[in-house]
Amino acid sequence: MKKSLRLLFFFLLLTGSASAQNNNQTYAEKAAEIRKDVWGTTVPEFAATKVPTNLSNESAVVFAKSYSMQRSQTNKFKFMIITASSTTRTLKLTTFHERVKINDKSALEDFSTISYQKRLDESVHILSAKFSMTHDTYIGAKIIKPTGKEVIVNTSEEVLIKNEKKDQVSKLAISDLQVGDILDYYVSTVDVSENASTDNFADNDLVFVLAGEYPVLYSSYDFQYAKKDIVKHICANGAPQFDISTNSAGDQIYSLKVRDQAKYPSEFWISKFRQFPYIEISSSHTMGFVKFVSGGKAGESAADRLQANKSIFEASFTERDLPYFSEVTDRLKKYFDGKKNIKAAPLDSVMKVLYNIRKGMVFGSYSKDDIGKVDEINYRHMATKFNAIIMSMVLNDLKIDYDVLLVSSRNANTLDNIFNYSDFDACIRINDTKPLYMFFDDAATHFNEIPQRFQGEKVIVLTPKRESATKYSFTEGTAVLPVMAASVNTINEEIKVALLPASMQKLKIQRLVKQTGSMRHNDQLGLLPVIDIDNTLMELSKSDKLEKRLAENPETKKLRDDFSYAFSDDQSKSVKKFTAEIKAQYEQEPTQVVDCKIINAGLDNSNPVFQYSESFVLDNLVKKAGNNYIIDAGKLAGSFYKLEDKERKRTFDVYMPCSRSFKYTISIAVPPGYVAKGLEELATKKTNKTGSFSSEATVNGNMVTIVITRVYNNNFEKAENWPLLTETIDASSGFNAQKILLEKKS
Amino acid sequence: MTIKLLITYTLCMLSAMQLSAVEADSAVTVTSLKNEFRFNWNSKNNRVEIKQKLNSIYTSNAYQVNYTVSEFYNNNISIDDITCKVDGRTPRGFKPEYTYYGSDDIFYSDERVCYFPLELAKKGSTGSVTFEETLNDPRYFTNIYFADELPVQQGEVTIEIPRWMKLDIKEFNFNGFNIKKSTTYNSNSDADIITYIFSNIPAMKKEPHSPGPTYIYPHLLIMCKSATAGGKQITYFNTLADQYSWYRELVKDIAGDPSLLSAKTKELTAGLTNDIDKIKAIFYYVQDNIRYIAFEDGMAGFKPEKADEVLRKKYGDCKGMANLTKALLEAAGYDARLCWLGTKHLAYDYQTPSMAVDNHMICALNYKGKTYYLDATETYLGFNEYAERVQGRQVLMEDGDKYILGKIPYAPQGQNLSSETSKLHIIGASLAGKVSNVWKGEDKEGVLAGLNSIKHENIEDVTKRYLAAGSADYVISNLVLSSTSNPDKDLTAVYDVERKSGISAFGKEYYIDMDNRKEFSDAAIAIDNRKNDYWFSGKEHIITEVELTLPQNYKASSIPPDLNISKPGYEFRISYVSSLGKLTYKKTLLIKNTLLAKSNFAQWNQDIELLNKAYNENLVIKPVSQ
Repeated sequence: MKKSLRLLFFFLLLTGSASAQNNNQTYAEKAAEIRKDVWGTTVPEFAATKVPTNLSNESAVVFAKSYSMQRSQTNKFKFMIITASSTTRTLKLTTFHERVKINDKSALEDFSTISYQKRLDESVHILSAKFSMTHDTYIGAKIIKPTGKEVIVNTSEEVLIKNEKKDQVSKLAISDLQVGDILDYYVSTVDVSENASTDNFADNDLVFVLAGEYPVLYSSYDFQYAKKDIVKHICANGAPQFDISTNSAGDQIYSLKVRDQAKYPSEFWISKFRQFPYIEISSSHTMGFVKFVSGGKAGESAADRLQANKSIFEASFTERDLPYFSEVTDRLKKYFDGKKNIKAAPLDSVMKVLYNIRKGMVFGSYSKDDIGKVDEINYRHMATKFNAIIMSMVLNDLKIDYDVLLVSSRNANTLDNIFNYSDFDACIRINDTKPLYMFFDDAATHFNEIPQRFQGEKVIVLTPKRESATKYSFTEGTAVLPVMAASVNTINEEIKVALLPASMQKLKIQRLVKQTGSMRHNDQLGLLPVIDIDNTLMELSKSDKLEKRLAENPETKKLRDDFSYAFSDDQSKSVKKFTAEIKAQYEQEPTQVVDCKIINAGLDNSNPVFQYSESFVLDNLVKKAGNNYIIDAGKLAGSFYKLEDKERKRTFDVYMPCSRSFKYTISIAVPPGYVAKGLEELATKKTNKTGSFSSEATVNGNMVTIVITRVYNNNFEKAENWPLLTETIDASSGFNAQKILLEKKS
Repeated sequence: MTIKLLITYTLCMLSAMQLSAVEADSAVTVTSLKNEFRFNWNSKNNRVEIKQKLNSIYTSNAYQVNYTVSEFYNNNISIDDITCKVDGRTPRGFKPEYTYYGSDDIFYSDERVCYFPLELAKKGSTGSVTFEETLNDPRYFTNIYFADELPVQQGEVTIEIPRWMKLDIKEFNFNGFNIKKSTTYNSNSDADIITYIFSNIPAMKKEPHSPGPTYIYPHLLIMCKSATAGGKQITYFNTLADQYSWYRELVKDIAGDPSLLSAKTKELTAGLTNDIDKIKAIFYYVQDNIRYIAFEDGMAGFKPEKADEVLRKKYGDCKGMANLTKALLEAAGYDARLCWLGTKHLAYDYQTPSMAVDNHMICALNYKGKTYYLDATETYLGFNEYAERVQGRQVLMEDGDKYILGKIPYAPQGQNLSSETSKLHIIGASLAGKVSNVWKGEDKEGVLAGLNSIKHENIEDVTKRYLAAGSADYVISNLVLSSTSNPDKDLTAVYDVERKSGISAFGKEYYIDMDNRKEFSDAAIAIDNRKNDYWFSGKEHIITEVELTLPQNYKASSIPPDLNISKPGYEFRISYVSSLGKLTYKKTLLIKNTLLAKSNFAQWNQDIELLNKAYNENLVIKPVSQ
């Protein structure tokens, strides 16, 4: 029996080997075959040579580009000495082909070299079986000279910048390419994978934004999937729909053609995945779950995709998999010294403590790797879906009326265009007399604070009901998250200015900054030492000190000295951090930076204003004129953005980070023997429905006080309101040029 | 730039810094460095080799330090063995990675790097790393550095030189360092053993505008001359003639197909009758049409690509571009030669024959008794103009079987110029008028390189932003830029301007800031932080002239004082000149010597402060009646 099994195994190996041999084209043969396919196919757009007159001043014009992808599968039987299994072998072929006219040296530089992973073999051997995972790249290029002469680029002139048996990376400098030439090139890849773990929608996802660096006259996108593949796709924001068909073998074919694709506009306050057309397509051969949960309709409509992703989220509500949720409840009971006290406390107080406990648990945990990257610790984010589920279980346990909200960032796809599981976030809404929100975001986020990227967004409201430890059921609705008023997101600065007596052209500045809402996060995370955030979060949740927490974690228990050293080193960089902040504000290097103080960390919503102060000296803001001095008063609040002429016309709606308001109170001490003049020129007032700007200067004794306010009422404006918005922007930047004169008394 | 060994040191330093997870002077110190070099006759391969044993002991000054150790090698240096012990034990899973070296500046290099993380968990942890290496050709044994990217507390370099090996050692930059040399004789191996012991060598620090490492760090230049071993006499670079002879072998048969070159020459010079015009046509063709791409590939790092191949490919490194320039000029009947040279980056010249002394190749043209040096890698520099990096540098020029030592001339101060002339008047609360700019030499090269790096359709916007020195209140209209494709002509710009930020009105008085550009205003040097001398990129000659027409019945009520700073290396001059109804601001800034020594930093900073003070003085005009 043993003998016959061995013989059978040997026979199969031979068969497999013979079969492989039949398919074993050399690299050169495969390259020749691909070249014939790409350049042998007649597509009129890939024969174009004339640039339309209206594009003659462009750096480069893409006559045509195409992307094609073909996936196919075969089942293979793998023997592993005494066991055997079936695996799916996926073959993926892609070709990107582009024909571009080079009009200047900038474009020549862009297109003159190609780098590519020529070969990568990550195949694994398990016992005697080999599971292939290979990648090969084939490239071709030809140049069409202005005379019409075609020159085929010798791709064997490539250099290998990595040359190992299983890993080759190449670079090719395109020879004979000059300004005025047309470059017609392609990059083809062949991927073979017998690794089922990579056959999922996230890894197979392809996204194409239909706007690029250069104008494109014609582009085509073609995808071919095997009959049994599950394919999902989206054509968003006005992108043309795919033409979907099948071939005689039953393969699914998705095709799309686009003409006259514009350049990607370099405007600011843009949300790319809300405003530009894009296509996204993905597939899986083996991942049947999504199809199952969506009733076999996965990928056919936005609603199906949303439903499928939602189903995955809902299925994650299993207490059996997340038993440690009860630790949050236990800590809450400990905080209130018993369940009775929890019931006695106002709901919003309890919820705030609960939120702070969870936040403390997440941000108060460290791994060994954190020691080497302390600078990054303040910028950690909580996993929103995971923490929403944990919190949901706790709230259910506490019998609190709440909902789970699903939401997409306004900087990414809409909720309707959810494609992958990572395309949306989750948060909690407590249904009190007024809704209370728990967003699981950065370390500075308060209880009941809605991060700016979610404000004004439509949400799916899921109301969970516990059916069992492994199953929750949900009722569903929709809502819209509120947009915080400009008065919530504020910066208020008090700036005391004096000319240095010893050097009147230098300004001594004492600055007190108060920030609230969305406007405080950047400076909070940038200026607060890691240990200060840690201490505050622990105090808020009455959690253990750092030393104890580190000791309780097997990964960090021997690293207490290490963390102590790293955190005190971070603390010692305080002046450096403040200096960087001043430099960013005034666009010049300050000197004599002293008295850098965090007055209030602002990490708790009962004391929510982040406050800090600093003192420093700036050059170049005072001009001498005879016996007099001129102060660049308009620059004492920092630089405000000045629009360029080309930015004055706008067709895209305006996605600003948030509504916001600023107030600067600048007090300038007039030196003895001088009088301030020109204050009346500082009076400005501009108000409309999108925002406002005002400035005013007064004098009281030897003190000139300038008060500046700047408000953007909304986080979003229609393009038609852009002229109104520019009034505020212009008034602000215009103020930057204002000066006051300190005239020597005669 | 080419010639790989010569930059290997720099590559090592830079890439080691990139690979390192810690700052050079922060968390780790080399508490002990012991590098041994031993000449050895390999009878199997019939060659002299240098066996290198490089040991460093790293000590952690912090916790959980993850320092990347790296060592470079190539076709001439093999790494034979590596040992690594952290606190006495080989780290679990110790596995060095080997890969090609890559950088943005070099398209391809055969330099390879071996690297691995050295994890020092505790303060005071030590890691002992030893590389054992073989260098297979004494010509490539050029430098030994005593400094490291980390501070070195104690170090020892030992060179064992059998008496059959002849070499010279030259010490560089020992001043100010505690380095002691001793020599002993080992009768067993019949070898002299030279030992250098040193302590407290600071970490190498990369600073912008810094002299090259050969000027700064203590090191030895090794010049292997000859060997008598294995029963034969081998000559390396006993004299410069030997070095030239070796180079000469590399540049044989590199012209390529003469018919192709001749045809191209005819095409380029068609219709031209004047020799200089023909020469320029050829030189400018190579400048404009051959893309510079740096290759550092084994012997190819020294051997130029054939001229016809460079012509076909339309790209090449400095050697390829020099060779094509030479071949085309020769095809046109001119006397053109290849020249090797070390740019200003190197502290050496050909008095010390070594492959370390050059890093560049250009073409020389001998015409009517004068030698012109043609460097086509300087894409926008005109004929007979020289970049700062090659001025005054010695060149090794081919001359058949002999060589000529030449010298590239220093460019006159006037080669480079950036001048701006404005004629302004007051309209409302603005200054308005016409402005014209002229750029010459390396200033022109800088502007053209910038313009050609941006997209065609953005050139006007970017040019305006550049002319406005970033000021949004400097509004330019009717901009006319001269042709950017004629290397023989100055680059000029003419435009109308409205300056809103240069003037303030208080009552009937105007306070006017005459200077929009204020060059060098931020040029003060942070003396406490800077370790090295400062090298300017090139000589500067900046002229600004602003003529203001005073409004009728106005006079200048306060004119800022003149500024006159004249130092051997630089001059700053600002003056205001009154004439009938006009007032003219004149500024001249000269950088005459591109080296600013550390000893002059304090003076320089004082002068920059005075310059800023002058910049921050406003002109005041008011009605005659007041």
